[in-house]
Amino acid sequence: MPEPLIQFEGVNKHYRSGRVENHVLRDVELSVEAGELVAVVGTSGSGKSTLLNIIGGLDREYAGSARVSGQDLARLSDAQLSHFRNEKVGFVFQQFNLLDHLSCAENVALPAMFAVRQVNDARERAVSALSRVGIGEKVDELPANLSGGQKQRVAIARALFNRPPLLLCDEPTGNLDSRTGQQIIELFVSLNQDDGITMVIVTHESRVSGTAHRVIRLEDGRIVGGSEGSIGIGDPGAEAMEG
Amino acid sequence: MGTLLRLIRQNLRRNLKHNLLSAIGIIVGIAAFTFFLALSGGVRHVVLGEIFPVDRLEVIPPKSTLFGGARELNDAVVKRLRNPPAEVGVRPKAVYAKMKLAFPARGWGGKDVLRRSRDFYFEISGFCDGVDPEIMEGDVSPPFAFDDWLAGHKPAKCSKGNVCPEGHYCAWDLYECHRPVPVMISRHMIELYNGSIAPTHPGLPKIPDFVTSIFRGKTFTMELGRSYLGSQARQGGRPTHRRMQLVGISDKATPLGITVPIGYVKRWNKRYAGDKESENYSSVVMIVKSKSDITPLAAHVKSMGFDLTESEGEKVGLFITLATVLFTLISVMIVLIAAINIAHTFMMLISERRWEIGVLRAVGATRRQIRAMILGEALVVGLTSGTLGLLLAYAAARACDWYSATRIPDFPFKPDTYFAFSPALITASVGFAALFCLLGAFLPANRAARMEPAMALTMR
Repeated sequence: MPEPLIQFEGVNKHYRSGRVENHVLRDVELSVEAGELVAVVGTSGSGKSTLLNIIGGLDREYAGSARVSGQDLARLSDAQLSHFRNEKVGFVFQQFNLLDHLSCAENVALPAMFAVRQVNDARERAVSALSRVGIGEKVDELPANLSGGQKQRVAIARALFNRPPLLLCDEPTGNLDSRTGQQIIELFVSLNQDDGITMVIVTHESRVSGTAHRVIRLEDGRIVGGSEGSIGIGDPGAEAMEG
Repeated sequence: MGTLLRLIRQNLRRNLKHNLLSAIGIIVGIAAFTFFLALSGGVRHVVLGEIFPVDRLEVIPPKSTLFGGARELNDAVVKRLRNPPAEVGVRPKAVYAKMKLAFPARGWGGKDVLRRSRDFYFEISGFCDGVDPEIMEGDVSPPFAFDDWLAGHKPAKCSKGNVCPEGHYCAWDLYECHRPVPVMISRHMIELYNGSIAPTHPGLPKIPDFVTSIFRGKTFTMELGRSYLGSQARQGGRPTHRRMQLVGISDKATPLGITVPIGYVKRWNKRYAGDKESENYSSVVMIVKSKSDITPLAAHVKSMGFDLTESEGEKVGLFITLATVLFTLISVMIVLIAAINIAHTFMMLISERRWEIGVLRAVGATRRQIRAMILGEALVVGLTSGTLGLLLAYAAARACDWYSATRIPDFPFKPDTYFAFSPALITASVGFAALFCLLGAFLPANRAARMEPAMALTMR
């Protein structure tokens, strides 16, 4: 049986803020198979983003075992972890996190700047990724001239640039109106179904979690429940998932 | 690498105002640093290279010896100076003896050169040295030569009706055909004339450097055995006349007076001052290979019981060095303060860009790449500031030279430029700017590299 793409065993995360000890994640056990679309829901401060950061190798201050793509993240050096972030995962953030002084194509091609192997066709690949997310005509535009939905598409194109097997999305529709948010959700479903990309999406929105194969609920850093979902855009049953 | 450079360029362009402000200190500091070092180099070149050369020692007989016995500078001493014992550790590049004219002499001439109706009359006794002709090799160009024409050669007789060979004249008081005695002068003489004599004598033209060649081949008359001070040689019989010919300009010529091949001085001294004055030298000059050879050679000279002439060059050189050190220290302080400013600016920029650094880390930038990016920006600021500082210093130097050339009256050894921008100085200036910028950005770059990406991403 193949190893799950994401395998967490007894992951704990806590930090001290003044005299207060915050236990952000408690004994998290998690397993995500390749090709799954998983939604992580929970109230603010429940540890959703922290979980996502650990999966993506952005946060390595934790206890327990976190294996992603067969690699124990705690054992990777900074260079290896950077390489992992460069090639194995793509991030999509609520705030888009585009660099305002770079054009759309340059933003998308940003991972190429830090790739271990030299990427000679970075611009072509950036244009291709932008076309894949439906904004191929905005190649040389600056982010400031784009709508929120277009910015998020650029961010998704950047996440897809190195064709990673795993996409990590932190509230990807949080800053978008409902119509644009719906388009982005459709894009995620398409990427998951058509391209086979495994997705972990942190969200508050039932529309998003309703599209997931599986929903994981976090409360005070613990996984308190998970449920099977069914892929289906606008599935009314998904509303029940809203926490 | 290319993409990293592009990112650096974009970041610099984006923070142009901040970078320009922080670069101003470096530009000013490097400009001051370069200006003072170039000034020091230029002045040192003129003062120590032309006015007080420091590449030589001049050995003279001791002023007094323990039991009053004289210690003489003769050929045996010259040989020992030329070949110091192995324990000295160094050998001089060249050694040549000098012999002063030891009897009254005077001269006249020059009216054709300076376009005057009358000749100049001048005292020669005390202002004439003889040196080995070999030492002047390279300072005289054909058709002229600095040779002792009478060495091993008996001149032909001449009288009324007899014609001397080409290049000779009939010395009427000896009835002999002679070539004119070759004479070398130093640039000091020209500078002294231009700086002190010409300005105070209306009608006397100045002699620009490029026309000093007009002197070559000009002749004047020297009368041996009689001076304008009313004295006459005690021996040697009646005074005689010689035709002298200027053949070149050399820094090895006596600074004040004329220099002729030593054979002439020996023969003249023998006739008009006695055998002793024709055997002992007045001084011996040792030219050193490098300045560091001066100390062991000077010690060797002292151990032989001889003295050295006081070197004004050493004193002036020390003064120039002290002044240079002082001004350089001030410049380095300016650059240091500027480096602190750079550190502050980069610290601020990095604080502002924490979120952006988080994004770069999220897409795969390593700590080393983040550090390289920040230091790369600092390096570009440094190289640009260094170049601008260098250009500023060069412009200031040219302005000073222009002011000196047009507004300051001429003086002996007035240089065309007071500055020496050597390749080493240019490299050092730009290098220092880059180095100080890198030092300033080092801590901020490390701080940026140490940021945890998850934390940095929350800093928007």
